[in-house]
Order: sequence, then C-alpha cells, then structure tokens
Amino acid sequence: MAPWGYAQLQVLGQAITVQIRGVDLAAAGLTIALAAVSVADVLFLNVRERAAELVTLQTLGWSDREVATVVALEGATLGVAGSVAGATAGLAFAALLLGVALGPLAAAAGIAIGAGAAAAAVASLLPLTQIRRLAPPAVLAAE
Amino acid sequence: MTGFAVRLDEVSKRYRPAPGQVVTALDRVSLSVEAGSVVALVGPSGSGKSTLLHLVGAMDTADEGSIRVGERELTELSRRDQTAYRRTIGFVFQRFHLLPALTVVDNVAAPLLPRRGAADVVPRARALLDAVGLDGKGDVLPSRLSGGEQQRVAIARALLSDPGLVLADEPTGNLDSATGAAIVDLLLRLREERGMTILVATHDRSVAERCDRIVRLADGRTVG
Repeated sequence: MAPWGYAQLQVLGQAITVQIRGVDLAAAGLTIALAAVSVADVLFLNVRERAAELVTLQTLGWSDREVATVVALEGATLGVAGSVAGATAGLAFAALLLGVALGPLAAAAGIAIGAGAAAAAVASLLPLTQIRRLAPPAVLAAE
Repeated sequence: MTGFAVRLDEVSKRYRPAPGQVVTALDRVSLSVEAGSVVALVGPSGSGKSTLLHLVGAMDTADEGSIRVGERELTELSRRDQTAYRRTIGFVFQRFHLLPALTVVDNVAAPLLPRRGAADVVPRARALLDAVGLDGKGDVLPSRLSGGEQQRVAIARALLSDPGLVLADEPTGNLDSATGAAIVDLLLRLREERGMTILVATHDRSVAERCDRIVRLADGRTVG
C-alpha cells in the first residue's frame, strides 16, 4: 500500500521518519470518532436526566428557543473546556516527547476545539427534541 | 395585574397509557371561577384535580371543550402562544421543582432571566423573598432550606411575573400541618395584597375550608 506521507520526529534525541499509510489515518479517525461519540453520549444522558428541570423552565414561561440556547451553550462550554484540555495535552506531548513543530499542529488543535464544541452542543440538543414531544406533567411526574 | 376569571365548558381529557387502553381523566367538566377568588379543587387521587390544573396552566391540551382564562381561549393557542400565556400565570408544585444548581434568588428570578437582565430582575426577586419571609436566604442553594422554605421560594417564583392566576397543585402535600397552614396563610395574604385568582388542588380538608369555594371532583367529574 502506498504511503500518504511521512512524518519526521525526534525521540530521545534520535531523528526518525515515520511512514503514514491510509490505514493509520483511518485508525486515527476512528479513535477521534469514538471519543466524540463517548462524550456526546454522556452529554445526551445528562440532558435527559435533567428533563424535569428543563420542563420546569418551560412551565415558568421559557420558550423552546430559550431553553435550547441554554442547553447548547452549556454543552458547547463543556465541549470547549474538554477540547482545550485535550488539545493542550496533545500539543505538549508532541512538542516535549516527539519534538514535532507546533505550527501545523496548532491549526489542527483549533479545528479539534471547534469540532468538540459543536459536537457537544449538538449532542446536548438532541434529547431536547424528545423532551418537547412529552407533556410537561408526564415529565414532572416521572422525576 | 388583576385576577383572571376562569371558565371551563364541557372539558374532557383522556390519556392512552398503553395501546388500546384509554383513561378518562376529565369528563365534560364545566366550572366558572370569579376573578380574584380562591377556589379549592378536592377529591381522591385520580379524580382529575391535577389534570384540570395542567389544562388551565396550558401544560397539557384538552381533547374536547373550551377553557377560557381572562381573555384567552386556551384550546386555540399555538405552542408559542402557550408560552406567552404561561408568563402571565404562576404555578406552585407539590414537589417545589426548584432548580438545584441555582441559588434561591436565582430560582425566583428564573422566569424572567432570559428576557430581562439579572440587574433588573434580581432586586424584584429579593423583594419577593422578603414578602414570603425569606429575607437573608437568597444566596443559599435550595437544598439548604426546609420543605416549607422551599415552598415559599416556589411561591415567590410564581409571583415574579405579577400573575393574574396562580395554580397550586397540592402545595402543602409535602409539608407538616403547621408548615402547610403557614403556606396557606401566605397564599391568602398574597391574594389580598395582589388580587390574583388562585386555584388550589388539595387533599387537605383544612386547606380547602379556608378557600372561598370548594369544588369536588370524582372520577373526572365535578360533583359539588
């Protein structure tokens, strides 16, 4: 299989060149996707467990949009916090242990943070569509 | 705001808990409540008290009949109009339903926070906490309060929008008798001061007897 490219690293002072194949990219993509699904699942369950709180806000006169805005902002904030922590750890690992130049990786980290925030916001909003279909008394009674 | 008159004509509500199964929660109920009055809805569990409050609060929709609150016909409201209507009423729940992560004052301010800034709403929320006897407790979490105090917070929250109607579903159901009596005192005093209409669903005879009028429900129908 033809390689996609090469990465030059330094490990323990030794310069090495790593061949990057398509299967390596696929494995990395799957790992990222699995991590995103795991985080999204936690956020999805978190919002579902708080259905009574969200319905209470609706009974107090909050509109669907106002409730969705709060939920999306909360999810995005958690997504940014987690993504920043992960990206920082990843950059530190690459710089300190592998000697990789940070310039190209910083752009990738920025994309990862944006994608993490968006995925978290969307995952938080998904259960809202289910909650909206239920009558508020049913949700409050089930608490 | 002056109290809302409430009128129900031939209102029915049915639930379908399982395929092929139908439970009639309200069966052609008619009821007229004068503006500014306090009316108790009494009856055994499953008689339809809470369902009636939920319909009048636009938290659920009737299958048949007409529900008029003030100038609004609730059975014709869109989802957006239901939201706008709920901003003109207050709801007090048996289990309080306070938001555990918010302080007491933020719980009271919650109904108006999305549309008016905290600087505008919080002073009013603190004044309402004073009115219900909770001055000085605004900055703690609800979990630090007793049940009676939490219900007072819920009442203050229900009053934030200066409602024309307050719906109280078993407001003393989770409280001891002395605390429950104090909550009823509070509701009646607030009615005197503010003139809103109050509908109270209750099992407690001592609560019902202090209201202007008692409406009895059984098997989804009014019986007196």
